[in-house]
Amino acid sequence: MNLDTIFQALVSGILTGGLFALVAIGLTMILGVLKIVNFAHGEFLMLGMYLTYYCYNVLGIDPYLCLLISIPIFFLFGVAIQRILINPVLKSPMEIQILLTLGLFFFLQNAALFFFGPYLKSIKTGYARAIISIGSVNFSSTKLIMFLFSIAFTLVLYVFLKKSDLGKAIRACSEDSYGAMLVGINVRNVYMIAFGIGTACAGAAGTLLMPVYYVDPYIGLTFVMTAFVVVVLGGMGNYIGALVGGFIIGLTESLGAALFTASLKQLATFVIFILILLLRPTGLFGARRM
Amino acid sequence: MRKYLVLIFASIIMTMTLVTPARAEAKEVRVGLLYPISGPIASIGRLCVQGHQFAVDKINAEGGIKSLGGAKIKLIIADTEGKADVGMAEAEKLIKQEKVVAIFGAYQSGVTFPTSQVAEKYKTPFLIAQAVADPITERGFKYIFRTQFKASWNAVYTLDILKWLGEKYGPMAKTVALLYENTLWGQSTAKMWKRKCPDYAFKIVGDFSYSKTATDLSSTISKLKGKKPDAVLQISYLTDAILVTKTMYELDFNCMARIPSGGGHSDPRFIEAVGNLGENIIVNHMFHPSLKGPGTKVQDVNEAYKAKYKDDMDDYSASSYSITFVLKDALERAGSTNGEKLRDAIATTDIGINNSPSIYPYALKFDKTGQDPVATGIATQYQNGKLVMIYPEEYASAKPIYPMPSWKERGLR
Amino acid sequence: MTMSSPGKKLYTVLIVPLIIFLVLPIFAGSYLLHIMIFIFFYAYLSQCWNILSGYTGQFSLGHAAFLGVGAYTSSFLFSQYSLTPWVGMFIGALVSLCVGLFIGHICFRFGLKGAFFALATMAFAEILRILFLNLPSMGGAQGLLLPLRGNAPLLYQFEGKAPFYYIALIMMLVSVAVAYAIERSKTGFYFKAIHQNEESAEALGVDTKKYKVIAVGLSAAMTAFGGTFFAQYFMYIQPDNTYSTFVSFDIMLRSIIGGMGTVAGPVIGSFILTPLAEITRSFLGGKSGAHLMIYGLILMAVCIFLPQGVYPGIKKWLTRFQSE
Repeated sequence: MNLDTIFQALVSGILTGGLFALVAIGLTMILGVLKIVNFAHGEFLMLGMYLTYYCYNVLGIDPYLCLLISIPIFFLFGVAIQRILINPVLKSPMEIQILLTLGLFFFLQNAALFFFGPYLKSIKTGYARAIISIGSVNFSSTKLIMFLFSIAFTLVLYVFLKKSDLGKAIRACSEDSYGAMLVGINVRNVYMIAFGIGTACAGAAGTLLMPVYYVDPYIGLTFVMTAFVVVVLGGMGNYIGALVGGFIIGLTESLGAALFTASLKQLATFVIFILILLLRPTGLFGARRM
Repeated sequence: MRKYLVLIFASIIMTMTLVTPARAEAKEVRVGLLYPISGPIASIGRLCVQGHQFAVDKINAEGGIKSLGGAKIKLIIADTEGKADVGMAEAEKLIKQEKVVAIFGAYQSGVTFPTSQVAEKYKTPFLIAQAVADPITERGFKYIFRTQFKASWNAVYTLDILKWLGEKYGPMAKTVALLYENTLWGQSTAKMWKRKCPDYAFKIVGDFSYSKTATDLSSTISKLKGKKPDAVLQISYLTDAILVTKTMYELDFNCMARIPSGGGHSDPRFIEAVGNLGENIIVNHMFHPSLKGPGTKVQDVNEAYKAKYKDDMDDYSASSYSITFVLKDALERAGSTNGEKLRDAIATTDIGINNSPSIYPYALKFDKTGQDPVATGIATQYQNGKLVMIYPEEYASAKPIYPMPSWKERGLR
Repeated sequence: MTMSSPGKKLYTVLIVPLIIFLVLPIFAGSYLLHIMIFIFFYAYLSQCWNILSGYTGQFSLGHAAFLGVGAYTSSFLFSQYSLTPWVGMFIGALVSLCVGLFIGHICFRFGLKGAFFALATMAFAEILRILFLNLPSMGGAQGLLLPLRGNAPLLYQFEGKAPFYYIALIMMLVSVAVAYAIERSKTGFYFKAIHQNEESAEALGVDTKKYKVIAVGLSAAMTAFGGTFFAQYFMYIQPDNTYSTFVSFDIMLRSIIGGMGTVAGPVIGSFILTPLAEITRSFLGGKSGAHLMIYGLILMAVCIFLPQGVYPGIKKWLTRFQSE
């Protein structure tokens, strides 16, 4: 086996892992706090990509500047979704919640198809072509930016949850919503905010992904399955776990492709997924059981 | 008693909602289109539909089907959603309820298999302009016709192009690597390559398949780079074509020729997304508007199309456009919309290149299996951001750039 | 209002649609038959799912795995060894039973519950899909094309739709009967106990793991018969239309909409959802996405306004109807 290939696989795996982590962080927040398996999460990412596309192509806003637009918009979008759709089913059995997010998934995916058309859209920025070479290892600068942002996001979220009052309230609800209510936390508001933050993370991930990738109405599905694996791996509701889980899956896929064959690389991901579920259902780093 | 009446009424109403009455009007030939117009490949399905619509508008404007008293063709569009079961239900509906006389479809080979079986059962001609899987016309069916080459012919055609490049422009490629998406199309083509490469004295040094929903292909391309092949033979859909191209650039992978088959690389959105990174890729596909046909036939059709739909014709719309005239021709000769008579007329189709409204570079006719035996492809190359015809030479509008200059030589890295 | 012998009344009410179903192929067009076959077929699959997920509460998101195993086993044996699918489907069920017992055993051995079990079953189905995509002996991505033998009832092949219609109808009725029998049996009682509160069931001496594994096995074996039916009806299978997660969704949605954990739920759900998909498609099919958008909207509406499924509502109506 070619040593260059291994190095390349390591670097690409970590860079892609950063992206998986960013998608998973929003998902893990929603799972951890609201205990909702959100199948529509990938569609939020997809909408984030469309927003960035139109901001860049119609308004001429740089994709990274667009973060300032997409984060608040998706936060509000998430709050609205939570108010209108998620809130009524919070007390329903899990299957109804799954069905609801599946319905939302079908709706958003096909709304995108209806309004934006089936055609693939991508943006070309000046810096997308900048390649960083270290020895025999190459990667594009946009992937590096995406990676750095993912880490920054995770850390900011982590500090926010640890230090701020709101963050503490969110964590309290995630651990014991009834207890949180007893000590006077407005659980309804916390749920709304948590869903908003989760959605904003997906929107931001979409924005960061746009310079690297392309968007079509079906892009969400590609990421959401992997995101579920990352979330379970890191432990539901565990943000640092999601980050590390993202790296592990990124590395598994790229090393799997380097050592075996690329068409089987997802197989490795799912096998790891099942093993983790069986052996460490709380994830590698621990989390509350649902 | 009343409650039974209620139940019976309820049952009847339920039945009625399922069966909307067929609306057959006189002086109209109803033809079914069965394509994926929603689902992940909706964009391609829509182009196919557009090609048929364009041809039918032209036929109707020129007086419809004369032997049927100037009857107009009416297209009934049905959506397969890219799924076999939905496609079957829709085919059933087109035939039994909408009373179509023939069906065009269904782009994907996986959907074409079962849907064409429905048509065969009801003795309704099923015309295929895009689905390439070999076995489609190898099932002994009587009502299935295909104007497109088979996947295996196309695989061999790629090798012909590479050999032609080596002989005419040199140097000859000695080693090739296979890079293909891991579904029906990629797998079956790769199988053919592996069988035929020894006949062409090409040595296969790498065999790489990947899932078309992959989000990162760095490892695969890195391995490919390690094998140092002279040429890369490739099968990719659109999204993975973009990913492969960008990754090849990122990892500074160079070779003498990259020859993908149709699919993603000939899609206008490919070059839009990759820009000058797509330069000098040679695409083996079905059609290109720069095709120098007899006279300026192809360009005339393309101009009219462009005026209407704002886009150049592509593989999908052009193949749909051309095959529509097979049906028109057969309807004229049969003078009837009876399934069996129409089938016999289609089977005896013989539309030459010169006087035909078809914009294919080959004649339209069918062998006993319903396959056009002379169907072939073309090769184009991206030069200055546009595809130009390079092969076969008699239709070519430009000379190929071979070997492909490296990223450095092109000043991109 | 008096409630006189509701059981007997119920039978007389059910007999009318049953007679309609029995004579329908005589005058129905083939498109209507196709829709009806799909209604019965999905009612059957969804009932299989319901036996596991509805009654015991172990939520499966991977029933496509069992469908695929059944379809592939019988089709492989037929296309390679010319074994009639009538026999092949039992072997398929046996294989699927083993797969089900394996999945059930390891999941419950490690105590997977709720969303964890759901995600694990989904991952199992995905693993099978990827494996079969890469197995050349199983046709890989090309799938298996069943050899056509014309009208050969002994080989599970028919020219017309009517035989398939009756097979699907029988399958649906059998599944309903099985669910009905389970509901009245001791096993069914344990199933429901597990659903309501596993810890208390355990405390009362129910071997919950054993009964959960039984439920998975039974459900898996039954689903496999559906797989063979699917293969024979389409004469063509590939990993993406058998093992796909969307197939699993299609299966479970009917039970949830109709009413989980009830005998009638899956049937009612299928009678609502299958025509609904058909109707939205035929009215809005020309516009990409519009019909699936509405489908999604209706799913969300059901969750919010009818979280129990529609069966409880119908039941209320029926009770009033009977006592009239």
